[in-house]
Amino acid sequence: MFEIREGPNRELILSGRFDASQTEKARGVLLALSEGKTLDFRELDYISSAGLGVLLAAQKRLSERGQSLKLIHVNNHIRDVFHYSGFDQIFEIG
Amino acid sequence: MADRAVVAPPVDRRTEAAALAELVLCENLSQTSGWAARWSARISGADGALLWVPHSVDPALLCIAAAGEGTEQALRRSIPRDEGLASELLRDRAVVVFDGDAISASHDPLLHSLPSGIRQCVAIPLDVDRFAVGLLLLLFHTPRKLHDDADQLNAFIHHASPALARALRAERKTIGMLHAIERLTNLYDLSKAFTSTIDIQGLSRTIVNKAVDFAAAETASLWILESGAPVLKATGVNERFDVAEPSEPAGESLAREAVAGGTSIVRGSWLAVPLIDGETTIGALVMGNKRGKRDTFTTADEELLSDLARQAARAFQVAVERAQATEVRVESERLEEGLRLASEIQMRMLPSGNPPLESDTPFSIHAVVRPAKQVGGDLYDFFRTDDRLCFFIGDVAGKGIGAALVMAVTQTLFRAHAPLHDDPASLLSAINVRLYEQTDTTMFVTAFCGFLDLHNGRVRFSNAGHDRPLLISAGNPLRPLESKSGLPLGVLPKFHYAVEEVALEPGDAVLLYTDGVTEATNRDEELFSLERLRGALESRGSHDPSALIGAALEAVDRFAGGTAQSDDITMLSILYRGAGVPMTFRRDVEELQNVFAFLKSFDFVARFRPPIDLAVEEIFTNFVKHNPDGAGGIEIRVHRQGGDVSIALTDRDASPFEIAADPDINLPLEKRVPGGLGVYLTRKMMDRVEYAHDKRVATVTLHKRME
Repeated sequence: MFEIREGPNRELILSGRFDASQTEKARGVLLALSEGKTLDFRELDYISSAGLGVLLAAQKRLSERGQSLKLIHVNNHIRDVFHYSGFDQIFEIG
Repeated sequence: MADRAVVAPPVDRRTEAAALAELVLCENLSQTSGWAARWSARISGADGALLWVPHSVDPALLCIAAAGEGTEQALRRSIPRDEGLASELLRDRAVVVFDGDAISASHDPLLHSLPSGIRQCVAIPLDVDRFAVGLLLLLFHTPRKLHDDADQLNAFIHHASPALARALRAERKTIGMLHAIERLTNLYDLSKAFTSTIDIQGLSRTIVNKAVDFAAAETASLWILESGAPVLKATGVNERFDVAEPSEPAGESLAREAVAGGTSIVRGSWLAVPLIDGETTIGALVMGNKRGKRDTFTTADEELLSDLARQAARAFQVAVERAQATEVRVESERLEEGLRLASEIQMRMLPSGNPPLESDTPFSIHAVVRPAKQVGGDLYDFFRTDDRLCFFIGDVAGKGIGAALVMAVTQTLFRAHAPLHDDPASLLSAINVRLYEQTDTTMFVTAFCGFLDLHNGRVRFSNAGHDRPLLISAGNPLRPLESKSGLPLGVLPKFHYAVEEVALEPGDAVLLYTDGVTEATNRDEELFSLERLRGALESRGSHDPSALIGAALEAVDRFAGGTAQSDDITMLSILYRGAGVPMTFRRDVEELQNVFAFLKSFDFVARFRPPIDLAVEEIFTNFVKHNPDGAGGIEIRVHRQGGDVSIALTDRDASPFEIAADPDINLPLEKRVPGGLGVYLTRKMMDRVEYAHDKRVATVTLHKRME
């Protein structure tokens, strides 16, 4: 189950598995962002290229406004995915 | 009236010498008595003489010699009786003279039967040492005084009496011998007649027919005790006499009496003889109406019939035993046939222990039941669905037809319910409920049930009081599958079994067995034991099920050394090959959750799960995107071999496509595009990725070593 909810500090908490079947749900939230956000990945177990694609689109859109997404609490798997895909160069991972 | 003729010295030496010379020629009693009668008449000047000699067999006196005109006639006519005058005269040992008046007035058959014209009859008892040897009747047409020839007669009698005694003794001996021979012959005839009759009805008829014949009786009835009361088995009439068969068999009370007393009874015209075999009185024979000289049964008849009754009793007992034995044999043959049939049916219910399997089947299986002599209650069963192998082994407590039936019920329940349950525990619980309802409470079944997931080698299993199966795993010591043992099936109306799980690595095998294996016995009644079973399995390097079971059977046979086993020997072995069956998924990214669940079932090492999930997801979504309207689904097959896993994704309706070039991961954000990233990541995550396309079948195979 993949979910996005707002945390106590207005950050977005992603949880579950961010796979190809969850892109619509993710797009609805992430592409509607009008300002930079911290995405808390502490409950996110998994991500595939489909998830990366949504994140990339959101990051691009925000960067046009000089904004960006910041990732925190990224697990090893997701860190690997970001590393292999070079996304660790286009996202700030805390 | 009595006038004793006393011994006197012989007068006429010539006559005496002639008489004695003739005696030498006499060979038997009849000739001797004839000689005595003739010479006494001659010496005494009588007109005739009759000599009565007591017979040894029939206590009646038999007329055996006569001399003189008319006396032969008298001899033929008269049948003297022991209660008559003759025996009286013999007993009294006195010479008695009957005159004409006495003779004509007498009603005694002895005197009555004398030829007419006899006016005087002198009766002289002959004896030796006070034992009567005969009664001499001298007959005179003209009465005269005895004294005239008394001396010479007395002298003759003095010689004749011992001669008669010798002849009588010889006769008695001969008669005794003849009697003994006759008796033996009778017994032989009887036993032959009796033993040649097989059925009880026939034997009963033979007994009564022989009895009337032997005893010269008109009727006979055979009574046999059944529950203490005599029951009529047969009646017979003597064919020699013109007698109608009695309409109502008589003699029940006599039979009862003879049985109670254990000895024969003569009452009126009846004779009842008990049938005694050894110490057991089995009934009685009741004879009616003696036919013969005196029309009553004599002790000789009693003796004869006692012989017959003894033979009859033995024969009857033998016939009854034989009938029972035959009945038992027929019954046991019928039962044996039934059991053989049951066993055959039972064996046919079990699936072949060597089922034909396609080469890519992810498991091998082999099973064996070696039934004990008696029909037992071992069973195994297995069947495969697309992605699961359900297997079952059971041992019904007890033997025989009851156990076989429970076994059949159990197997039917397994077959019927297995497809309805997702785990072996709920299946066993369901079988338990129904077994409890359908069988009596003394019947129960120990069972082990497993579900092998063909995609990933995971076995979920439940144990109902059965011997724990053995796990044979490469590089590991052979070990029993640890499991909580539940109650045997059929003990309680409701029981919840635990589900346990073991993941088979490719090449791992399990062996299920019944206690007929470990409790096989040798001549010294030692048990084969689990240790010997383990030894046998370990001695064989192979994990192939038929090789494992073969090794175990061979070891059991060697151990038993030909000793017949009292319990079924049953084994079922499964080898997990690891070439998992493909799972087919809909051509839809929404299927991903199912794909992940499927992959999860393989229980990969935790840190390899996300990269494997990712690789599979990327290829799967690629297939879906590339060919969204393709026919059929997308197959995923997982194959594990040790730490190596390979996962093949197949689209059977795909146009060839190019693997996208690797994206440049170092481009700045604004130049990055999502395309091509999935395959790139897949290649990064996996050790090797193979792509094949042939006749619209596209297959991508992912390889990963998990270490």
